[in-house]
Amino acid sequence: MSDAPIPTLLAMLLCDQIIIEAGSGKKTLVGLFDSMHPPEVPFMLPSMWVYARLSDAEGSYVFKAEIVHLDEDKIVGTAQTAPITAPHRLGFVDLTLQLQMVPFVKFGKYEFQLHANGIYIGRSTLTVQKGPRPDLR
Amino acid sequence: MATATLLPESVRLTPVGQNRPVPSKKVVVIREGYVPTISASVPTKKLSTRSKRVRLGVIHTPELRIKRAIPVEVRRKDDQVLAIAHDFQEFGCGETMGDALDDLAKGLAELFFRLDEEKDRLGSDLRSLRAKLSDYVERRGKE
Repeated sequence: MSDAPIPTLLAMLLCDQIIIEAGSGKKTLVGLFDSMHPPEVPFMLPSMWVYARLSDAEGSYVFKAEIVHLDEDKIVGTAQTAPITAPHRLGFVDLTLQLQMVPFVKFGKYEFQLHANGIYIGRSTLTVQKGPRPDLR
Repeated sequence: MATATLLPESVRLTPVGQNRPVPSKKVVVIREGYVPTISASVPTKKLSTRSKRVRLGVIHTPELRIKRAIPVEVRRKDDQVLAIAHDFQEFGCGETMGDALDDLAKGLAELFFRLDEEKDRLGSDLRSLRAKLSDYVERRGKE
């Protein structure tokens, strides 16, 4: 596993759901978001998805997403896959990760930091603000 | 077509520490000829500790790629985060760890290019620094 090349993260997006078409393998990302507006915290999100497109991946990897509350610089949650194999480093690999029961302990900014075999490869940011959304008030 | 089975964690924890039922198994299907998709459904575990050491695998320059993860120490000072690569005497700073790592990655890319441009005129210290950096970073298309 340690000999596997370090993947390059080309895109990382957070969304409500990912639909993968059975025949073509095409992905539809539903409900992309970079902010959330719960009425109060702590707040538990039952399910959300992380989409990541990677290149330079070949071999066996364990991917880990760490959710960090930036204001307090604390990890509030982590989710890790079992070892999985990427076939060819010259192509792309799409990682679709469904996170369940994601805890948001306080309002503020969060980062979803992606690690491949324990190596930091990138991040995506999420802001959690007291709801409702400003444009819906 | 290759298949692999992902086993979710045995338990998932809520912030108050209650155990929840184990979710069902998920299967990864990789089809040749398509962009392979790795799908996983994983519970989120609660943690509170934060590592002070990070293995950096980002360089943010399309011409370069990381060969080996670069060991980085992360320090917090007041409102700033410092990411320090002691092997190369380089550091990056920012408001968050991600910002500091991005800053460090840019600095390392600049260092690589500068040392590469001046490679015929380097003294012994910088030559050894360039050799050490080349163990971790390389130009794309060289492998």
